[in-house]
Amino acid sequence: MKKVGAWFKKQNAYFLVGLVMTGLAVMLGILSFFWTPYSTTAMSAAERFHGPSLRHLFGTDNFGRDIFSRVMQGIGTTVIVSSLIVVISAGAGILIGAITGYFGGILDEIIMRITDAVNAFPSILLALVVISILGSGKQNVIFSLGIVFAPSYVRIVRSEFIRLRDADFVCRARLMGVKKLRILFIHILPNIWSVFWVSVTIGFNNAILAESGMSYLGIGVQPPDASLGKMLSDAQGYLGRAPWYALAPGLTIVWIVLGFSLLSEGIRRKEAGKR
Amino acid sequence: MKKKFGITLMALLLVAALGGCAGGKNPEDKSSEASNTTAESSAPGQQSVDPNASKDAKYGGKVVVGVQQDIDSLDPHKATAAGTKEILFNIFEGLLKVNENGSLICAVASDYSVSEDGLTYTFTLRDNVKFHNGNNVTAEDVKYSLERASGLLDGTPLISSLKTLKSVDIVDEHTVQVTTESANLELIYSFTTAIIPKGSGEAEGSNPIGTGPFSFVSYKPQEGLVVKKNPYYWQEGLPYLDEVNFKIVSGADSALLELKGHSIDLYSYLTDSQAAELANDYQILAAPSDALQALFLNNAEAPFTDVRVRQAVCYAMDRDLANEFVTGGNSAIISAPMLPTLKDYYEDLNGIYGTGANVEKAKQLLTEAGYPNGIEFSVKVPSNYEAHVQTAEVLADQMKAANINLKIELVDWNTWLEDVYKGRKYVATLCAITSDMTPSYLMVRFQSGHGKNFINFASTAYDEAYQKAEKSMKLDEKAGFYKQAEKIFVEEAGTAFIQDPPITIALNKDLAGYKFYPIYVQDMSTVYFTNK
Amino acid sequence: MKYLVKKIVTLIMTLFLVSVLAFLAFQIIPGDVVTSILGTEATPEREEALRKELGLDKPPVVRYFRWAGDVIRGDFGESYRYSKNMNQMMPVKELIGDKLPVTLLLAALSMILIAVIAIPLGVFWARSKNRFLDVVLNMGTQTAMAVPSFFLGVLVTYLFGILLKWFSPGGYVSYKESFWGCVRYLVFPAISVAIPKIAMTARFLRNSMLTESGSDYVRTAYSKGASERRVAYFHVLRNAMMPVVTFLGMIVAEIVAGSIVVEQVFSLPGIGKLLISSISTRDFPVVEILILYITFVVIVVYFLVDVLYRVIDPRISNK
Repeated sequence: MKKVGAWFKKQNAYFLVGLVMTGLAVMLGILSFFWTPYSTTAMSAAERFHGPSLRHLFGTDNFGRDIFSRVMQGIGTTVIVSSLIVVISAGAGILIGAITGYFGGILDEIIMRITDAVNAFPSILLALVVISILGSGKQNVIFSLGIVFAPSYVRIVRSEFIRLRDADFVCRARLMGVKKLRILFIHILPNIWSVFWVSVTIGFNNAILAESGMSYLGIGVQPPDASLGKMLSDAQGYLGRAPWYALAPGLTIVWIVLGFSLLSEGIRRKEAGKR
Repeated sequence: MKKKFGITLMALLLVAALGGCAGGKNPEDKSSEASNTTAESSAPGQQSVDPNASKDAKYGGKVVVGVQQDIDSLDPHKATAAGTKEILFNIFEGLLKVNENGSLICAVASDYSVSEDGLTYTFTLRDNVKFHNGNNVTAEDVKYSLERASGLLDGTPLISSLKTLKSVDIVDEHTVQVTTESANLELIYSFTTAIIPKGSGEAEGSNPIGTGPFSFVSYKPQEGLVVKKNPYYWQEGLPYLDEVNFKIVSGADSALLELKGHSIDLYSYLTDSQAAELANDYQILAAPSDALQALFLNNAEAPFTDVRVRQAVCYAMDRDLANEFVTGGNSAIISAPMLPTLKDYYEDLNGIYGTGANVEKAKQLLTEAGYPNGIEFSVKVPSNYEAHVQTAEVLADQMKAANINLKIELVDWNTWLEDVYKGRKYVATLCAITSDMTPSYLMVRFQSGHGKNFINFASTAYDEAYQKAEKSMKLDEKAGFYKQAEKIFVEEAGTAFIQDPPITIALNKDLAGYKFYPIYVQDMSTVYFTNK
Repeated sequence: MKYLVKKIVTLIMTLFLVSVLAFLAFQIIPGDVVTSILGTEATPEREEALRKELGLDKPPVVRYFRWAGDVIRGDFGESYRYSKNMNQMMPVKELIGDKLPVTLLLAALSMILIAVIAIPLGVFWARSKNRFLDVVLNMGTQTAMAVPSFFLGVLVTYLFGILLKWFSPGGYVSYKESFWGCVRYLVFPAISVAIPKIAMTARFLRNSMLTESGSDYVRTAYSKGASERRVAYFHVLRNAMMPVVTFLGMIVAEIVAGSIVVEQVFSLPGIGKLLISSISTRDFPVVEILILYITFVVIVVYFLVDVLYRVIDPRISNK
């Protein structure tokens, strides 16, 4: 037992396990764009609600579709959608957080009020607004959820910048006449990565969940396309009859998010080890 | 327990023309002075206690009924949501009342007659009908209720079909006479409008008071409505239950969980697979829902401006498959804008396009219409109706074979109402329309330029046939015109009708006496606990 | 004092901004409340009358300021959708007042679970020298945090409700009928709320304790001969709790603002569920007040955490 613990530490097994888990999921997701064992939409009355077997690894759903193939497609959709949400919200978060945190002042006040407002605003209502202006579809879900999640990154980045703006190395750089933008993004930014990564992980998790929630309301991915969240909400009605239908996408989400968390834990430990 | 289509469905208009009620507990009811004694009078007591049932029936007990929607208003004249009306049916009654066969029976009235020109209705009030507060129902109450609902009271008609009323007069304390502007055989159905105590709309306030089998106890938004037995109810022996709690359940999924946890005794509108999942713990009963599910095509939007494209869609649609997948094969496939329940008016037109898919014919029509490579269009589906979403998925998959590609677009219900139903900003939509017991209800809307013609169907032949049907005062002739209009509509492929999906309910195994209605109601008065 | 005034001004500004945003949102999204109420079969006269009755015939700007004026005067208006009885609509205040205790009770139960489990777990974890245990706890908490909340809700329902029959899903008992019956039911949704938060809090506390253990004062305490136990509980924990308090504060704000998903899954008539249904029925007065309430709670809880921080650690206010 002790050996396992030691091995974990030595090899940075968190990183490895995380890498394997996410890697496998992402590969399946990418593969689904080219090939799935069965069609993701073809229905078959004879094959409804078959339990997991060698023919259908995860069983079949209420339309007799192969759940494994749909999970593959779902991973593809969900990972892309969630990653883009994280990229948009984290990108906006860094930009706004860095500027407001470093410079402070009236701009900071205004932006913080807006962030608070967006933060308290129900994401469903916001999504409805975006969709009614831009129409439904994946890209608009990404856009609206990107807005919804930006404030949390702003908060984190901002507080980190406030903490570091008076640090010795920043003061020194300022005295040496380094340009402000350079101080912001070359000097300070790398120092907040570890905090930032953790919030990206949580954000990724939240993005997957929110995308599921949107699909649940019929705003996100449109049927017959599969997304993990949509599958999970569809499957809820068949929990007693076909528990595998809910378990497959549910556990896949857990798998991806866990893999991602372990990966970032591994990165964090590696960083810590270096110092 | 599946309700048969073959049950003697009433010749509604015949009765209407002659006056008099079917059944009802009214031995001295000799209304049928007119020479035609209808079949109805030989089927008495539709609403009364079923003699077979009462043997093991037990009085008392509380039942929790799961309902899907919250109540929009406790005012019976203002309530419009079907989900509210289904509950209020237990609290309120009109002069007349619909029974489980779709026939009109007398409720607050004991008898009525219609003048030959169809302009005057005379109602005799039943003795000793009491409101929940113990007061007798008087002619004043009836006058007040009808005037309030029709807008005679304050100029705002609350129930649109009563708009044509000209006056409501009290002849004597047991008789009320109603005159209308124009003769309409279907108007009689509007006298199911709830009778409420005089002045109650404004003054009585905190309690909805009616004459129904149950009286109001409490209502809490999002939680539900509780009613208790009305001790004064005029139908002796009813109701059985002491208390009914209509509990609002947030969605089909949580309903399923609640059923599994046995916190609801009765729940309607189960999906096929949910029913299968509950089959061991509950009695599963099914009947037609009398809603008409269709892929509605916007006739004013390309490519559906071309009748050939609309026909191609009708041919390409495999309705048997949709029925099989979504409703377990329990739906009635329908092709006409009319429900089979309205037997006299319904024409089986399934032969025109067939119920399976005719891919070749569809492709050929598309090619003729200038779409040799097929078409793609968006289908807006209200996301809160699981059955519609599933049907859309099945059709989308199946119609690909005919090069018809459906792009499903889920919208929330209020967006659907505004954009699709009112704004008509859509190409195609999959949903269902419900009907009442009048044949005009479904068909009136498809006249060119009609306010509710949300599919923008336009056909002068249809308009003519429909108007003849509406004006006709003879049943045969009327039915003939309706059938003619149906045929025109289907041949023009105004829209691609799918099916009348079944309504499937789960009922606690200790309960019995549940009756399905051809309208959207939950009648709890006949439900009882069995002596087991 | 100046600090307090500044905070209050911020609060008011944010509330104003949020209310304007919500109002604008309702102008933009399709779906007319009149159609939503009356359905498709109502007469045009009735629609017109209702529109007038709700004041929707006025221009948007007038409507907003009339509404805002009423709110400032303490009149939160009436729901468009829910009637109290035959001729009076439900006042928003009453409607929310009725739902709020459910949400608050759920929040309280969840917080108790989190505090009772996460704090000992975090301390135990920080003190444990067993690497294998560390791996197990690490993986376990990571997994708990990775479960989507509605999946968790469904799993809890399935396990405790359907398989073990410890509670009947959907058999929510109103707190007015039986307080303990209500608590008994709410324990299960509280479990689903608490599980990921317990994992987060325990991790947070552990990290915070490990950081603190390296500090000078801990070394001093050891050198003075204090027992390891004493150091862990009296010195390290007290200091390590500070960031945890912030964290718990955020969790409180999150739960009190309405656990939309959990309320939906367990069909709890709380404010999260009310918010969703009011948005979908376009019940503007209810949605506005709910959003304002959520904003208010979040900001005030953050403020309290801030104050608490200053009380615990005077260094901050001196700075």
